[in-house]
Amino acid sequence: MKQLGRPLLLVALVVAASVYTYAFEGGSHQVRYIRYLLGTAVLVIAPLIAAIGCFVAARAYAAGDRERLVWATGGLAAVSWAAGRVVFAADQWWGGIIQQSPSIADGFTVLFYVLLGIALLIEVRLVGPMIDRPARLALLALGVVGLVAGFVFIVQPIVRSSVSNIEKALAAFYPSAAVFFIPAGLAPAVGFRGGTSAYVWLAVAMGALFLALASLGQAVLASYGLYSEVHSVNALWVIGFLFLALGGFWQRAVQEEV
Amino acid sequence: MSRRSALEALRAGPALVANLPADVVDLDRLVTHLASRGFGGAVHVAGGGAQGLLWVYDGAPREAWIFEPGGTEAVVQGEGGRGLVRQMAANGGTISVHPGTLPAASPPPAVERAVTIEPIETDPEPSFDHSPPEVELIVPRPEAVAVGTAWPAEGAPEITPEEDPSPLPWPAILEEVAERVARHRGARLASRFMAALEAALAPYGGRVINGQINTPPLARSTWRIVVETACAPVVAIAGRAFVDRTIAAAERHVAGGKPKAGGTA
Repeated sequence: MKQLGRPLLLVALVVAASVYTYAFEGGSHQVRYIRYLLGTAVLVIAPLIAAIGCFVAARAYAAGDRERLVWATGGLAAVSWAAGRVVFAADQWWGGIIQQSPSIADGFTVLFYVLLGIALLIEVRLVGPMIDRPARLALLALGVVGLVAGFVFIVQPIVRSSVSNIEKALAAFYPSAAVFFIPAGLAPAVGFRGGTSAYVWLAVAMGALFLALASLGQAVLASYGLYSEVHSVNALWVIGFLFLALGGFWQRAVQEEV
Repeated sequence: MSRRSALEALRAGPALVANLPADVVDLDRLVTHLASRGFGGAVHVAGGGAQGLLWVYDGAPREAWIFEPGGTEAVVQGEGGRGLVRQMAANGGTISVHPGTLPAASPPPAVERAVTIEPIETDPEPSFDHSPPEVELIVPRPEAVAVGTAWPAEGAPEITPEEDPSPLPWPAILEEVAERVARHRGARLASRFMAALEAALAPYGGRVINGQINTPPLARSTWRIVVETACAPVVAIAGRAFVDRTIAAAERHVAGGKPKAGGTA
């Protein structure tokens, strides 16, 4: 567990910056400006930490190991999300564009969901034979219930609103994909229950949960034009990526500590 | 000799690998490997009460015998037969590999089976031959079989009767590996490892009783095959690097008597 020292310090710094950014309101013009800068920075740094965690985990495997592909793909997903945030911030910083949606940033975000979905799908296929049928059904039910609840309470109002079709499609896609990441992240935890790897995947599932909640929240806020870098919903993104990072670094540690 | 008698004789004989869970074996790759190494015998697949034998000889997979629970038999040539056996394997069950030779005068199946997979070629005579067997199934003894050819372990040497037993205490090492797999990947994967280990040891008279491994002295190359086979389910999930580190750590633990908890590679 010695390897976790530096990553934990980095995570602590991001958490402190996030608390300063999202837990307080008001303040002088300078304070609000600093919070805006910190908010922009942590939304890029948090997924990059998650990507580093995933790539570090991948290095614990030999070439050709399938879980190596899982973690590497997860790392690429996080990099893609960070790239999307950089584009989004650059548009506003230099381009003077406020709340442009959809944009190239959405392309990176879509890629994030696709890559993370592929990574989780590979892992679920690996552990599938070790999961009982009742547990499989329960996980599937969890995904379906989450999807239905998300659609009824969040996606449906957006779809019925007057926003463009592509915005509606994206608003429906992001939370729908994210909701299914929760059971997909939990599946390996169930398959490895009793072993230390189960806790790693529990961290990944927690990450998926927070990313799904952030996705749902951002979809609602963006549809009403209320989303901003310093909105507290962004804390959910940061927490989600930090859980993903925790899973990656932890997996590296347990994988090598046989 | 009827086909069912031949099947029973084959199953009663030694197996290169026995009762491996079908979901950890790539059947096509196994058959291709057996054929490429000049293996003569059959791959047995059992699942859902049905059984299938896919004969491999002269460097290629040949006919498949299908035995259904109700006594129905079918002989299916070519890709159709392989497809049926592959389908049985895909539905779960177990896979074994038995050395032997195809009885030359096998009778046609007792009842023709309505097989939907094309092409299907059955013997032209539908009558059942109850005469005494004219051709005995030839089943070699395990030590005479090149076991190294039966599992796609790269570089695995062939077993020869005169080879020395392995100096390593493999039963203790593998018990430690099972414990470490359970600690890191959970009891489910550890039990799959033990099931594959038991299946791999069975042809050599080895057994696993309450997690303890009992075997007669086995050659180094035999242990290599056994370890490869037993670790296959773990390699598929946790990866080759994890398995190599775990075996090395278990070996050090057994050799040095390190404490079980918290040992590192």
